[in-house]
Amino acid sequence: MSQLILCHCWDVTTSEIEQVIADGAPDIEWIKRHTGISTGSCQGRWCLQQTLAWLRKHYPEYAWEQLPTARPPLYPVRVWQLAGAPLEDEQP
Amino acid sequence: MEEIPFRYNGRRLKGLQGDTIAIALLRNGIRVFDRSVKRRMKRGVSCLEGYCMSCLLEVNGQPDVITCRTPLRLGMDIRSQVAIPSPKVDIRAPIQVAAFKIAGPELYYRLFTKPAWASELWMRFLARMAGRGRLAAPHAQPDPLPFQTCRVDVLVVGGGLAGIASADEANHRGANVMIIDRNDRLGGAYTRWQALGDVPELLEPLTEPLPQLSPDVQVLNNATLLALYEDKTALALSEQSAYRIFYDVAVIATGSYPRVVSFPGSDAPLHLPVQGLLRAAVETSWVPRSAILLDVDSYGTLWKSTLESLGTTVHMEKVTVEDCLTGQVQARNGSGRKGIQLASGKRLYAEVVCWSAGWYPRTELIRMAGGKAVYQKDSDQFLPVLTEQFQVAPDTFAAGGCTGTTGFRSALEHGRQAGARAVAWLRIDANQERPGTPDEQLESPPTSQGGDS
Repeated sequence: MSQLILCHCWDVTTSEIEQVIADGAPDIEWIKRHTGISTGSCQGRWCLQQTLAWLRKHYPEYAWEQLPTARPPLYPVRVWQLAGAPLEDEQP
Repeated sequence: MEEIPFRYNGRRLKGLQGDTIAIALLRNGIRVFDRSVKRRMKRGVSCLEGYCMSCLLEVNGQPDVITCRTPLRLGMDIRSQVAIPSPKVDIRAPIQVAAFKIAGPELYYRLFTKPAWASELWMRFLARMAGRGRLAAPHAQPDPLPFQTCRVDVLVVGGGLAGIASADEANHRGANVMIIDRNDRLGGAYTRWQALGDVPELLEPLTEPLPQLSPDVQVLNNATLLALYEDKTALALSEQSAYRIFYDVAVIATGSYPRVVSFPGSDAPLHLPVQGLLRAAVETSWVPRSAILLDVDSYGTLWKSTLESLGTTVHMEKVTVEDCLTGQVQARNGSGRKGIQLASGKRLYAEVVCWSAGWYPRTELIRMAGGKAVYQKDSDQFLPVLTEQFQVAPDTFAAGGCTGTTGFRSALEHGRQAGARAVAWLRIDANQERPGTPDEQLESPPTSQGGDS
């Protein structure tokens, strides 16, 4: 039987999250840092709803009540591109 | 239609005028675009809406290009980034799968931790194996896009109905407005559903015509907003240019994305929300021959008839999110076709598997601007916290799908009001005390009603 992969970017399965919780993860922040869930190129857009739905069902004390802050950039971009951005004092 | 030749992993292929890269690959029968980094799972199209990031490929030396949102151009050189030697047969897949079987999911940091030299060698080996392939040499990479700077009073993010309405309203009230949209024309979901015929009833069809934007409003089409920064600047990218936008007030009208339904095996390509399929049908006229439709939110019959009118054979099955998350529903992928095993043990096969599960508000930019998105049990969504003035954070307003509304009529109405509030906020003198942000919830500012243009 194929596994339920919640996170496509880092291939995080439900059994992996169960393992991290069994190892004593105190909260979802720990799960996130340990498995990399919601830190891939989708930045949680794809995986977070399903992960939280799954957590709410099996480990309700771990599910977030409020989504974390989103950080730039929203989409993959080369640092080389960002490095050329004009500065504040160059504004028209 | 005109054919566009391109290359994919060295093969010469042809797409059609108007295709995105992902659709051109699908037309050529390529379903597996690449492999995932960690478990080497097959990756390809998973949403066709530009948010799943499963279809990333290297295009003309540029890594991580979202292929389902990037138009195909003549002579593009498209490559897989992870798979070796090809996405279909990946030699690292069996090695890695075996390693996972033996060492478990923590293979990366549990093996060879001692002695120090072994750990170092192991890390170096991992660094070679990991990641999205290797970048082309610096001289072979495309140059960064040139930056343009602009200064506006009101920056409207998203060109759907809410965005158009708020840009229109803010412009009527004398503000200098820019509207930024990811598609090649404004109108968002409304224009897309209109192209399919009748707008579904669940989305409240409009009785009034769409507002015609005045030429004073700057429209930035085909551009993606990457960031809103604290110093009230925004970064955006289009195919030809990068933009640094200095703004005073932002109106976020990013709409919503289709809700994700995960079940065992659903990470394989072509398991996607039905809205993505219909978007592709409108934008590129690509439709699958057959589809399995998992009806989660009971609007399945509506989507089924839309898909059937496009020429797709649809098998519809009613399932629940519970069934999916507990493994009652499973993907059964055969050679070249997608299968589903239902809770009853029944198996179905088709070209694609899609689901109808409603929408989910896009709150990333709201949260980036300092707003909050809090879980609401009754709607099972994270909804932004907003004041009656449609304000989500200091200098930031929001309207439409990203605030959790689904109707087109309410998108227009809320968009107008958010536009009006944004201009009222702009006009309040910097020395005056400003009305409350969602955290403070003070009394409402003295603004006139929206929609009086």
